[in-house]
Amino acid sequence: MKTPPIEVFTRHLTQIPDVFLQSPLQGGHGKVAVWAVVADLLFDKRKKLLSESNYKHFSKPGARDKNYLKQVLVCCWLFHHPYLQQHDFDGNKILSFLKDGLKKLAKLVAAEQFVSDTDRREELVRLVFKLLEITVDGETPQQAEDRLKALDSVERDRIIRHTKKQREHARKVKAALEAQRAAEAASRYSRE
Amino acid sequence: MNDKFDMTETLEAITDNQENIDKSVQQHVSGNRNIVPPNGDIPQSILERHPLLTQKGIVNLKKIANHPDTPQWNYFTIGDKVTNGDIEAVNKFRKEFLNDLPLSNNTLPSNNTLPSNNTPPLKIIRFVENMRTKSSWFREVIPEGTDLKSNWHSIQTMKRKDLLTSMTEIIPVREDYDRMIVYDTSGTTGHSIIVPHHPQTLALNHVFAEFVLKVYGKPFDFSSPLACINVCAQQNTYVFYNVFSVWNEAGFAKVNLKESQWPTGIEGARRFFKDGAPHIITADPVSIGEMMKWELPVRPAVIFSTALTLSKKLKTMAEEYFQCPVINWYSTTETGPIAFEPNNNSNVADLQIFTHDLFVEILDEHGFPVPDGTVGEITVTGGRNLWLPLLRYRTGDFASFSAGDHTCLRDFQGRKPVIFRATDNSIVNSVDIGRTIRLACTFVEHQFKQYADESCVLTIRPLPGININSEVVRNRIYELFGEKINLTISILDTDSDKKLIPYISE
Repeated sequence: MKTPPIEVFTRHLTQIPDVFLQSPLQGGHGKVAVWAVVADLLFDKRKKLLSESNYKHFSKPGARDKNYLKQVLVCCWLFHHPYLQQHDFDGNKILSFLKDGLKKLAKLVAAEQFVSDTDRREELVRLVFKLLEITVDGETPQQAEDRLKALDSVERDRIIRHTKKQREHARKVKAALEAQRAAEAASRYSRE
Repeated sequence: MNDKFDMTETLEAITDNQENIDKSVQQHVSGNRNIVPPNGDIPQSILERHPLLTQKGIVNLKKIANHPDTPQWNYFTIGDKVTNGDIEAVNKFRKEFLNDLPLSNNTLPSNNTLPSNNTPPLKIIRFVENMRTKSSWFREVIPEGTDLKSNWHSIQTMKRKDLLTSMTEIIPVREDYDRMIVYDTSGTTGHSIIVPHHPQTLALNHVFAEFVLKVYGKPFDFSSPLACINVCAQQNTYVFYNVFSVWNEAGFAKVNLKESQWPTGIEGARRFFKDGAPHIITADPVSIGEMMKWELPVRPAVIFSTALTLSKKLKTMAEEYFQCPVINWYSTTETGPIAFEPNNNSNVADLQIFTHDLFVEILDEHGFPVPDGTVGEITVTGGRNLWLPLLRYRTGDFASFSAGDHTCLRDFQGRKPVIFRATDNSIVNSVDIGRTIRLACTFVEHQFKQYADESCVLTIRPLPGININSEVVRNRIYELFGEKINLTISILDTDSDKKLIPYISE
């Protein structure tokens, strides 16, 4: 079966139902039970229920995990695309992607960006294609790799962190902290 | 003076609701020297520390320095480092903060610009957006494209440990690295941390004192030679004098109520305070108790009780003794002033938050707001420290919000006093314990617990990669408690999540 163009999948992302973007259920907070959505997605492929540890993983209680759990929901919607549903992709691979593959992305990109931003939509689709070893018609593996690299949020962040300006800032801060620690401080009217 | 003053009662009042914090201070300089410049031109070396010093300031400095009963100053290279640009910033802040607020009911306004729910006001959102362009930390914890208003609670909280390990990332890009000044925090909840400050930040903090004077209906009068005294009662601390440019070069002194540091004794200290006639005194509750014990003949307009929580009992005693309001003041080195006790004669010990440039949340351990009326950790965003922007910073102090009102802290539970006993039955101050442990090792958190049988357990969570020599620590503790103390030292894993309460005494 011919692979549909990338745009079909990115358009699918823009059509995500609102419920997938609502707050994930974490303890007494939020609305969407992410573990249930993941279990539903994977049951057909793995023919087994979500384990206790996976249930806990997708019910992370920390407020800081909210964006990660929302990204999981967006991915689940993407994996529900009819083309991806029809093919017998490895459920364990998908589970592994949902658990570990989003770790860095969740710190860098708001889940909503995978819906509202053109480049981030394409990045997510290409990441999933790479995971499932799907080749886009008319594109060589090298071209696909190059395109993904151009969109790569993690790589972009690494470059930003290591810019000359950032390195220079870190050097100046360290020097100032060291110098001023040894020097006299200005007086203040009270102690805290 | 109150001849019937009873120190036992004071100590009970202090220990009823206070916590001694540690102050790691090393005395770099000793002996009395005079920092007052000679007549004529002011030397460049002094102007570098005190750019706006004029002859008026010199007159005030001389009045302090030449008093026959000064304490033995031990720190001389002090200045406020305030420039004309800083004064302009203070005046702008003063105008916004003092003049724009209705004070008819002596409280901060409770209008819709203040947080009435759990999301920050626009001013704070803008602050965070701005800092995201300047601080690596802000970029790291706020994913690209995040709608701050709707996803506020998904932002990772900033912890004390982060200040210890990631300060370089948190500090924003600025041009004036040479204007950074550095303080050690007291280390109430763990190892002391290095906190960068800016002279302008310290200058801005003066406006909060002005505001509270106004709230209490007190005049803004800094005409006396020594307008403000910061009083300590510690084994060892810096003591110095200065003038504040931001207060029209009013005189200031930090003094320590330790008899050996007053060449003319307690009688001399009394004369120094009486002649200085300070308009404002700032002191922690332990020092306020000591001021009464020393029977200092002062009648300031207000006393700000800082660093530790002021108990109702000590407040009442001190107000009667000094005939002025003694105001509970909640502030940390990291944040500056956060809240103060309003002038409403209420039995409820609320603290009114300085919401002008702070967004305060009460959070659970997972980073979500707790329901109103439930105690959680006081968490702060914003502030005025140009070198330390705070983003959901967990203060380590706990309180609750009353229903529907997020402008007051209730049930404040931080900074309670703990008193320990040495083997000779003398009192050991937690201030000294904290300093002693810090001198012996580097750690993230500690807990010193003394049981009813006087045996002690010290638990330490070290910094990753740091080995702790238990014998060195043990010998230091022996110096405080005596060698007969039954002491157990326990070192936790560096990645342990166990939360340690710093001081416990049965």
